[in-house]
Amino acid sequence: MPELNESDLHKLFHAAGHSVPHVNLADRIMARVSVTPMERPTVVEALISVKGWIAAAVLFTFVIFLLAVYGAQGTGAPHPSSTYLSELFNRFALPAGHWHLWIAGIAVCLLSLSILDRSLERRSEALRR
Amino acid sequence: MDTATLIPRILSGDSRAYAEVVRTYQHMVYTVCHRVLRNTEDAEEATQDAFLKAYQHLATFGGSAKFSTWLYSIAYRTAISHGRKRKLDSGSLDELTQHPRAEGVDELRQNETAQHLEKALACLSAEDAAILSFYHLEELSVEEIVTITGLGASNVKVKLHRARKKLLDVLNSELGAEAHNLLLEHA
Repeated sequence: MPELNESDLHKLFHAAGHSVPHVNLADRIMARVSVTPMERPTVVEALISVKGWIAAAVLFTFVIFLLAVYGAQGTGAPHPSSTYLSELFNRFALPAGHWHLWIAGIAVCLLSLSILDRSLERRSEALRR
Repeated sequence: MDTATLIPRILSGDSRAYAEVVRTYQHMVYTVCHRVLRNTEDAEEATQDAFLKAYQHLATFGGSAKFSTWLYSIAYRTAISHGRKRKLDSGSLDELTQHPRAEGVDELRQNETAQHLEKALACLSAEDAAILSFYHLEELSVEEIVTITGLGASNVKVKLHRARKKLLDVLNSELGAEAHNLLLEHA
């Protein structure tokens, strides 16, 4: 009797075809699907975007640069309107002079922190919704 | 309709689109489950569970693999899990002989061929029977079978080789002459 070989298996599997379920299997599946919620993957968004981090880094570097440049120059004669502050800074061994720049730097820092705080609050609110 | 166009519709809440996916793939998924579980009732339950899992996790289908491969993977793992739970690895051959009634001569012959093949496949482990079906019936590549089963490529190749050899031994020696001749006619 001739024997079946490996190349015959492929034809045999195709000749046999798929197993056949009961006719209403698809309906039963859809009945279960209709009462099953689809799972949505949780999207975790960063509160501070990449652009936000870049902007903060640029701003921070700019402020540091201002302080480094003008702080070093500020070792000369103090501005007449800032004698009290100069004395205070001298007491803590900090660079003196050009107080308008110091004040501007601090104001920029405070403003940027406030803006950052507000934007974080808005984004977290949006994510909560 | 192409599955790639159906998936966005399903994700937007169109359940009729998923019904189309079910109709398209139910025989493939059921065959995988039946080859693993060797029992009509359990295979149908596993098929339902597989389609349900696929629906629930459809949003995680990234499209890096074919949808059919992804669905097969779910079906195979679900069937294996059902088999482990119910310890049905050694399924009864009586169950395997249950097939829908054939109407024409061709259908009758196909039905008989299917029964003989399934009897022979029942001599193999569930995993080997499924791998052979993936390779010979669904014509999947070794890489796709690796994705579905989670086995290594070399492991799949070895299993394929051994399973083919064992199946041929069973087909050539253990089946009766009549069944053997019928299979030879088809081959």
